[in-house]
Amino acid sequence: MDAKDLFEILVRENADMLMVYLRAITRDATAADDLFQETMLTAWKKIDEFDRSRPFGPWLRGIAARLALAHRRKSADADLLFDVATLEHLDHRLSQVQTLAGDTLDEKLDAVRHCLAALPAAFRQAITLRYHEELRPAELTELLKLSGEAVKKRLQRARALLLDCVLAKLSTAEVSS
Amino acid sequence: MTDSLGRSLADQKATENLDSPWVDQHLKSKAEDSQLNGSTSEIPATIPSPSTSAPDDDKKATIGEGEIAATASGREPTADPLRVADHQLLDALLEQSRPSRRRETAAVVDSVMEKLRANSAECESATPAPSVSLQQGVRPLRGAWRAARWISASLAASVLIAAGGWLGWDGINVSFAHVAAESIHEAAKQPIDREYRVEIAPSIPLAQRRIAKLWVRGGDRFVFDDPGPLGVRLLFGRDEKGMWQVPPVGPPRRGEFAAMRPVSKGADEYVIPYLQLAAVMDRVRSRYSITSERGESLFEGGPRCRKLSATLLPKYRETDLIAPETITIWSHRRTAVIERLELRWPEAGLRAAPKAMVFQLAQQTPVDDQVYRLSTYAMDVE
Repeated sequence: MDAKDLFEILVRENADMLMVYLRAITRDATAADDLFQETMLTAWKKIDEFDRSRPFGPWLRGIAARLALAHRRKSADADLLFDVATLEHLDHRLSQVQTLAGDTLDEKLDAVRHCLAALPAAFRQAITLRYHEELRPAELTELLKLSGEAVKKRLQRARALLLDCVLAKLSTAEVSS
Repeated sequence: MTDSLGRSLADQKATENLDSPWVDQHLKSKAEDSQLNGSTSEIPATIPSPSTSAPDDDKKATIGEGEIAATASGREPTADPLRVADHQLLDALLEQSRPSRRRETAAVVDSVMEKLRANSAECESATPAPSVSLQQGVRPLRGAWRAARWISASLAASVLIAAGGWLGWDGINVSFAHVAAESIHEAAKQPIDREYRVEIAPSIPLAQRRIAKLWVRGGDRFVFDDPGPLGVRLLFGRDEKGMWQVPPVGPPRRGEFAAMRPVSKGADEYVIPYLQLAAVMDRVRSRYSITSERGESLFEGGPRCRKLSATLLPKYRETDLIAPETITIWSHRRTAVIERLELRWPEAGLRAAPKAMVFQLAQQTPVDDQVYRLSTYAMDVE
């Protein structure tokens, strides 16, 4: 197997996780895509610096974090207010995600799906419509026949419950591993 | 400590009739946490803005409500920053759980790999001045500065490859080989019907080599059809009800591996767990030391396959009496589908089994579910 094949395998294995990391940092799909591509190119250039005894994912996220910080310094975008502590925290969280059962991120996301399934129906519906059906808040308002404020609060509460459940699963998985 | 989550959920229950034991339990545990920890658990005041396709006006509207935006606007943050980060992570996980989003990510990887391959090919063919051309359908990177980065990165990559720095990675680190094994395992788990020609080299003296057939579909369906060492057909398989066997003598039976092994004892030892390729790869990942070898073609002029060699870890030699000593895997470079698999056992000792079994991919064609069912081969048994 040559380097190109290996690089491709490693990148494909870690692509979804890297994208999650970048989107969590930037909250912007376009910025995340750009940083993702820059991360891949930098990784390609620096692959000989990679300590092969260590996992590839955290190394890739390390590159992404440095690029994101550099991007933030150059950017006037007030939405990019992450700091090193936040980046480290997210990196730790993704390491916890890595310990969930399953080989791919999609399989690991079964934990999130289980939490979603355990939500009360109204909360589950709100999350599903927002994230899976990609409805905007205004569309949710119309569909659910609720005020904008009620939709907003329902989503907040649903996300809070979902997050608590997911974090509990991450902690359990980390301890088990 | 105040517990805004608990209060707001209680309010929510009152106004929206969200009666649920799950909510009650959560409220209770939250209240207990509040008493124990004395900390505040605030809900970030935001509606997430996750949609990749949301128009700019929508994005701006929602960003204005976000946790980070609230900080930026000069207001005091209302939540623990790390809790906010957790919320953003949850948003990102939910987005990435959509197949369409994963396809988009794969497309980005494709486009970058395409460019890197194109540049390395140019370099290998000594084409002067590698150029970077954005292909149709690939989202162009924005701005001249990005193009400049592409060019410099591509040139750097080309120089690295030209220098031969990492074209030959023989004896590559275990972690890389394990990642390759992971992708092969993934491919083996796909619910796709594949037929393998299996050559068996028996360990019993005077027994002839013979050719069996294996149909396999992912990790839970297979049929192994063996002409048998004495010319009497043997069948093993797994269908929706579990493992089954049609022995040369006696009635068909269902059961687990352990219950079936004695049937073939004394003749040619079958190694049933190793008839299912996903199971093989699962064991390779956990019980073998894996190294990556230089890829090779399986026939003259054929495409070069990825090749991995796996050796049973010492601690399993004493405990896993049916495990092959070495497993060699040739897989397709792009799809990671196993093209050829060689299982080899020691020629003597407790762990003696067939000397070798060699699986060769024959075809990848959908077959009916019936192929995997015991009822197909033993009409009166179900």
